[in-house]
Amino acid sequence: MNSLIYTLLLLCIAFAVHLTVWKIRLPHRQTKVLLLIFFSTLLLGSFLFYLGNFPIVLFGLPFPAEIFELIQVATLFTAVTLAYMITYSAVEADSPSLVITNMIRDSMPEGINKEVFEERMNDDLLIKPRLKDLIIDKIAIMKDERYVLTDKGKLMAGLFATYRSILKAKKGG
Amino acid sequence: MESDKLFLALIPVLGLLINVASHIAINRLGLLSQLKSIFVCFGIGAIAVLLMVFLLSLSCIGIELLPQLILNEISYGALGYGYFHFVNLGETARRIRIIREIFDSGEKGMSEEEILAIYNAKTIVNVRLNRLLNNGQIILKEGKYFVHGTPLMNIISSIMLFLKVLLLGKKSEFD
Repeated sequence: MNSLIYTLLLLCIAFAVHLTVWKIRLPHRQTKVLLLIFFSTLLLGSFLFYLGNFPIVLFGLPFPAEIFELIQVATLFTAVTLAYMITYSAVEADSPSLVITNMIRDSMPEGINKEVFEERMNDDLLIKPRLKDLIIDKIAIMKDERYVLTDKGKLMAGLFATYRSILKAKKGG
Repeated sequence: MESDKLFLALIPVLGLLINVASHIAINRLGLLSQLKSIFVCFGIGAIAVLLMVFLLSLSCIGIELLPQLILNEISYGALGYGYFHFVNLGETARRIRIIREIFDSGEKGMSEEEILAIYNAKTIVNVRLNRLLNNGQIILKEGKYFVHGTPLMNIISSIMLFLKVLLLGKKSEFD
């Protein structure tokens, strides 16, 4: 139980640091800074648990200092962090389904005319911001007014293409 | 004893591997739809985690069943949630679809016009509108769209809105 309780404590600390940094100034590359905050907290926390010097003792529970307990802390912390990263990406960029629902919800009770709706849901709203993100996140570069993938972009594309072919799935999107 | 404890610590990862392996097998055999197979395989992994912790607690002294079960199932649940979204990203994310189109075009890359010719707002909206209409989340009546039925998307949208305001201080990326 101590692994669970102390992992939750580390997650709360990481989340508090994340919230504080975000309130001071929104980072340019948010995912990178999030990863830095969360994994620095895990490394520092695990090291202090191992030494038995962590500043907060919860419910008189001993620190998770054995190797198997530290692996449990790392597994739970990493799993929750990755789950949060994925959820955060939907917070950072508006998902089309949510944009659609919000647009229709805002028009209630009259509803929204099909033509007006289709006119508002255009490339400027749904595609161009994502193209801009590719450059910001260094997934692609502009070369002679063409988007060309960086090594990072090629790795991402290859990973998803390979996995979808393993699943025998179509292109998606 | 030490090896039992190390095995215990790796149970959530083993659960995830069972989830992924069964998901690949079910998809390749075409037994279930993508969404159903994800949920079924998540359940298979969760049961595997439960059995592994239970059997280990019987054979190894010093392992408390209930706390270890809670810890391992939460860890597995978070890993499973990550896997679900990894599969879902390949299925629905615009960014991934655009990257794949550029990847398929080779070293010369693609211009904005070329990208928009094969993947544009119309394609995106049609797929999602059909999904929302088929799920009964919205309806089309006399040329107008209305929110309808179980307010699932409303609930999700309210949660996302809360997180956006809390973290980013704005309701939309366009504000």
